[in-house]
Formats: sequence, C-alpha cells, structure tokens
Amino acid sequence: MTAERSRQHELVFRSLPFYANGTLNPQETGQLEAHLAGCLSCQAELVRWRDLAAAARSGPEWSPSPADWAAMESRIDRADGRARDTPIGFRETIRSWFAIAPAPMRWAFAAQAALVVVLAGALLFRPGGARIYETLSTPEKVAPSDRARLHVVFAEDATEREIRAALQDLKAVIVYGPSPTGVYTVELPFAASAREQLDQAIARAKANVKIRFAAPPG
Amino acid sequence: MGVVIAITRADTRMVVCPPLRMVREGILEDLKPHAVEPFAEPASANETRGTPDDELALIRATAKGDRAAFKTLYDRYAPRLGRYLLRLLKRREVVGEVVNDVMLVAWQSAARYEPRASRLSSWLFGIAHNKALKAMERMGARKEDLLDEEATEDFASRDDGATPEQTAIGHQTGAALLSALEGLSPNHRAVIELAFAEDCSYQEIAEITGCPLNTVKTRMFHARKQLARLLAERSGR
Repeated sequence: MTAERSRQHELVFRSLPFYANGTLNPQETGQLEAHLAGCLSCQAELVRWRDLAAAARSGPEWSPSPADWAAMESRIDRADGRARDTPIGFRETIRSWFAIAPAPMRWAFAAQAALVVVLAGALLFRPGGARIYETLSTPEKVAPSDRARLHVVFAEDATEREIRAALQDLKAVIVYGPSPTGVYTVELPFAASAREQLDQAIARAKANVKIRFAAPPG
Repeated sequence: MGVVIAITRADTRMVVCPPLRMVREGILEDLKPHAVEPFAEPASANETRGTPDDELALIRATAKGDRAAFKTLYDRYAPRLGRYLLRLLKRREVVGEVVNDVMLVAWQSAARYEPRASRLSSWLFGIAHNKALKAMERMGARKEDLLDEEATEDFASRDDGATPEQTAIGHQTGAALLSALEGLSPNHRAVIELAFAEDCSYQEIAEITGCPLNTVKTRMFHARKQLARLLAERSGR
C-alpha cells in the first residue's frame, strides 16, 4: 500500500461512522465510496459500524410525564418572577384596600356591605314557612297529565347545550327536576298509552351518551 | 485558567478545546458558543445548515413568552434530550430534572438563539451535554471518566501501534453491543449516541461537545477501541 493510499485509507476509515449515519456531504460521500469499492477492510468495518449504530438506536428511551411538565411550568413561573407562593386572602385584600382608600369611600363601602348582609339575611330566613325548592321547569306543582313521561339522568359533564339537544331530540320538555338525586322528569309528545313510541323514546335516550339513565316513572 | 492544547502530527495547527474543569467551575456558560476550529474538511464544516421554519417560529415565539409555543418545543425535544441524558447519566430518576434544566435555559435564552450559527437541535443538545457533565460531577463521577481524552489521544498520534483493523470489534449481537455501550465512558458514549441515536454529523457533534472536528472522529475511533476491549473482556478473551 502506497503512502498516499494508506493516508486515504485512514481518512476513509475515520469517516465510516458518519457514512453509516448518512451525514457526510456529497463530496465526502463520493470520495469515500470510491475507496470503499476496492477496500475489503473498509467494507467489513462499515458493516460493524452499522451493527453498532443499530445497537445504539435500540437503547433505553425516556419520555416526560405530566409531572415533569408541571415542574417545568412551575420553574418557568419562578424564573419569570410570577410565582405565587400563597394566594393573598380576601381579608388581606380588604385590609390593604382600606389602608389606602379615602375615608368617604371606606364609609360607602361599609354601608354597601351592611346592606348586602341585611338583604341576604332577609332572603335566607323568610319567616313563617319552609324554604321552597324550585327549578325553572317547576314553577308550580307538577300537574297530572296523560302524556308519556320519563325519568332521565344526564351525564355529569353534560353542558346546557347538550341537555337542550337531547331534549329536542326526544321532543321532550322538563316538567320536574332536578330532584335531589339529579333526576329530571320529562314529558314526551305522545300519550302515556303509546307503549311502542315510549319504548322507541327510551331506546333513543339510552343511545345518547349524555343521558346516563332513562326509564318510565314508577 | 488554562486550556488544553493538542498538536496533531498531521496538521500542526493548535487545537484549543475547553477542558471540562472550565465547564464544571462555571467558567464556560452553558450557552457560550464553542470555539470550534474546523481544521479538517473546512468546506463541509462551513456549509450553511437550515433551521426548519416551524422550529424557528417556535423559538421566536418562545422568546416572546409564548407558553404554548414552548410547550410544543418541550414535547418535541424533551424525549430526545431525555434519551441522550439517560444514556449518559444512566440514572432515570434524575433525567426529568436535568431535561427541565436544559429547557429552562432554552426558555430564558430563546432570544439569544442564532439560527445561522447552529441548528436548534444542536443548540439544545449542546446545553444538554454541558448539563450532563455537571450532573455527572454532582453525582460523583470519577475524574478520569470526565477527562479530555482528545487532548492526549489523537488518531494520528496514537502510540499503541494498533492499526484501525486491530481495533475491530468483530461481529457481535445487538444485545452484546448494547451491553458494552453501557460500559463506555461518558465522552465516548456521547459521540456514539449523537452519531447514531440522533444522526448528528461530525460537525454537529463538534458544536454540541465543544471540540474540534478531528477530535470528534478521534473520539469515535477510541470509542470503538474501548468497545472492542469491553467486548473482549466480557467474552473472556
């Protein structure tokens, strides 16, 4: 092997790992491949580098957990000086406001606060009777009806829009509820005696993912 | 303060490589550009590397405090950085914290990222590399494990008389190689991981590790040699 060829061999030999990972530039790649075609030693070495590359790629992996990201956000908050070690309490807020507010404003605030307390008391402690539990659907006692009715429980995460859509789908209206256990009574647009229509309505209600329970009363 | 100066026989230009002590003592900042002197294959070393537009947009948005953009970068890079750190540190329980150390630097210094100087991945892995060295120091890594082998071990000046072929590791199974990789020193493991798990070019590895191009190739050579020795020991040769 001539000195020049030996030098070339050594240069190629050193570049083989980067040929194996495909990151040499076109000029380097061309020079290397020209040598590689006639050098069994470099060809064998390339195979070994590729084995090593495959082994390295199969090593252990890591991925962040939600807790890692939460810790990251916390560190960012601290780094940005936006950390809130303990939230300022309501009393501290009022106290600090009073400390800087002008006297007339302090009196006005105190009078408003007193009025709020009096009104709230009047609402909560109505004399002479039990507190009445009402919903928008039951402004008065539910009247008997010959229309079909269902007891329905909506999913906990159901939004107002989803509840409205479910009712429209059944062509139903709420006539009572929610009960203390979350049950609504809905009235359907057909007679209670129409069993087939009722069964279809029940099946339709049960098919709705936002309705957890649907059954006739009683 | 000193620097390690290596003079190669093939090219008598001086190679200045920041010793790890400077990193350890905080003399080198995490983000300080490494003085990489491309004394081999300068054409490829000087080639312009494009940064993907979306990543540039993300780091720019991060620089303006956009938390959602940063989250996207985090989701994209944390697994890669974590994999690299796990393989260097070998302690899964500390990886999350070190990844966050790296990403916090990215959050705080995003405005300093210069796309013409390096790819975003190289910038982040460079930070990770320095954080890994500091973490290893904290974990009590032996000093000899963190020495700059390249200062004394140059391919052209090796004195053990071994030809490249004599360092051949022979055909090995993936499991044996993977096991032997675990035994490599951090600096040797780093070049192997960056080359093959991250598909970095030797120019990128030079940027990340803060060493000259030839040193990267030399480290690869010595990593192979160390692997050959480890495999021979394990096979009872």
